[in-house]
Amino acid sequence: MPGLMRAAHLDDFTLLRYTARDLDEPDRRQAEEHLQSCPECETTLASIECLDRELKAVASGIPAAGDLSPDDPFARRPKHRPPPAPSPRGDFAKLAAAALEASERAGDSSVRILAAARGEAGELAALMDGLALSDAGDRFALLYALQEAGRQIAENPLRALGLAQAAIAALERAAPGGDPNGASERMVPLRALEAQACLLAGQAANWTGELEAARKRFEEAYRGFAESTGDEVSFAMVEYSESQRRSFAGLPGEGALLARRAAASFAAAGLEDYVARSRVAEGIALAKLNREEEALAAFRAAAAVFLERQLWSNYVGAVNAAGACLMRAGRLAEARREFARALKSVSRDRHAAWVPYIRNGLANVLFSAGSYADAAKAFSQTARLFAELNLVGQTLIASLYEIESWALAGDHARAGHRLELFRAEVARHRALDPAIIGQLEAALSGENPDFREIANLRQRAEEILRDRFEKNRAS
Amino acid sequence: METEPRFPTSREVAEALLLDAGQRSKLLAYAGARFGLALEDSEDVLQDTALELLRQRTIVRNPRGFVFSVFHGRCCDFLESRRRSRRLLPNNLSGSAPAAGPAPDETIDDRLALRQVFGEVSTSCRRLLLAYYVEGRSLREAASAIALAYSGVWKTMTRCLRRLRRCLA
Repeated sequence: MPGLMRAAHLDDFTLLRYTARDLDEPDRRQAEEHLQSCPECETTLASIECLDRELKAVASGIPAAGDLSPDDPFARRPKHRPPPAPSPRGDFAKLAAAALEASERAGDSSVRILAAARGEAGELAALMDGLALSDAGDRFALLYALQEAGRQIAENPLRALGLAQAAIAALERAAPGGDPNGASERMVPLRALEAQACLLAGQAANWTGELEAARKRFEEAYRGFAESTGDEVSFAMVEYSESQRRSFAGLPGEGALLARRAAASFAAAGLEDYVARSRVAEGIALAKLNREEEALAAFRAAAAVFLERQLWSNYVGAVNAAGACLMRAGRLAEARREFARALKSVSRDRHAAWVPYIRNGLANVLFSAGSYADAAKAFSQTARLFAELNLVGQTLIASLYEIESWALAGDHARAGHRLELFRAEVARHRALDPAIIGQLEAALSGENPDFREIANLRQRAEEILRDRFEKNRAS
Repeated sequence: METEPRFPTSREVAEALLLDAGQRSKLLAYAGARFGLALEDSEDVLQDTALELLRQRTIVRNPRGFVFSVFHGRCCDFLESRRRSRRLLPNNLSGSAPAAGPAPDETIDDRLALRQVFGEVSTSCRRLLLAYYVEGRSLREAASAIALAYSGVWKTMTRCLRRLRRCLA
């Protein structure tokens, strides 16, 4: 880094970066050591911190580059408005030890809540009815269960929604929040639990495409955290989720801004995994703004973090997003290398759940590049890997691409043979209207197949299969 | 399946903090030296910090850095909410010790002056400050977005920050 110690003292920009925790670890250590022995720099640092606070206050009156209107609930992070603290506030060690003990007790209970959420609806409702929300242990248990359900949301969004709704109902029954100065309320305010449940409900709605419902939930969560704990990480989680929602809702400029705001908080807390997730959210927004180069940089930076930390589902998502960016830009050779590198990074045995998704990306590149015979072989392999994981919808979609690829490669006999196998699988799972298969067969027949019709039918069938099997997975 | 290496959760970091009297003392000393907080107030902030850590079960790779970051944020939050309560209540009704910082009117004047200077600083500096303070980018990210060599950004920013500090002095 240039300039950190060029002169006898630290310069203002270094001190601002120090205040913002923006320095690399060695530079931060060097600055810290210097500050310990230099009263002059210590005084300048105090002045910079004061300036930093004032600039934050000034900035709160400046609209965010026109991307968010001043009336937007997310225009700026809400001020933490905690209830009045008791006076005297009590013994630190006593309250903290009690909170620690309550959070320890909560571990098993939170696992039980998550297990109940996987079972029958009645089981979850009974468990929620049995929660003693005046008890800090049960509050921690519910909080942890809601947070964990958020982390696992991709597995089953509707199940997460069910848990969020059951929690909101239980909290409504428990309202009003009781003594604001009571120990349980200070450890885990009911309003914070409600905010966490709203965040989870919003995340589930993002997955199911109910974006208006998600908006209301995220706004409520944002307000709820401001009125209770004011935890920066919680605010950033809401912003990250709202960023995704805005990008899906056709507001990618706003999505990018919120993703960056969330990333800044995660970075300040040193939560690099979440910084990388926010970078992916920003990349999605940038891609929708046709800023493909910046999006690609965001996806690649995130993928490197996920790879290093072995967060495989995130890694595969980021690689696929980067590959899609390159394909849209017509940089097919680079896209192919991207997927090939990713395949080398994972083990067929240890990462069996993720390999087919990378292979699928590679097959798509071959298809886009017009290497239809190679694409057909790659889709065939992908379908086999998805079948081993019992992912019926994904298997059938890959098979559809394989059929189309063989037809485009001019191997009509093989396309016809694969169609027969596909027909049998579809019948076995009752996955599609047989009429679509009939239309596909007609389009494939003869010496000159109707490729446009085949592509249309494949697209229609793909939508039906995704809808049907995603919904089945979620219910 | 995710096979993440084992790092402590935020909750476990809180547990370690509660067992480590040395770390707690350092944080209390930091709050006093850096923010001028009284010991009682620092202890309240530390309590809020521990509770915040216990409420999260996020994986943490740099426990000390994470604790420091949450504590630092809580100190700023504490000062901000004290300022707000002073603005809402006359000093003698605010229930807290007399202000160590500027009176509310002075703060507002400072901000007006800052706003004015903010409009007069160089384009590069303004762009960087807006990117950091308004758009939520990190300083490193904001600096790299400016079409200047990094040493140029450095000089411009240091000059600009000095000017802004003078405005507050």
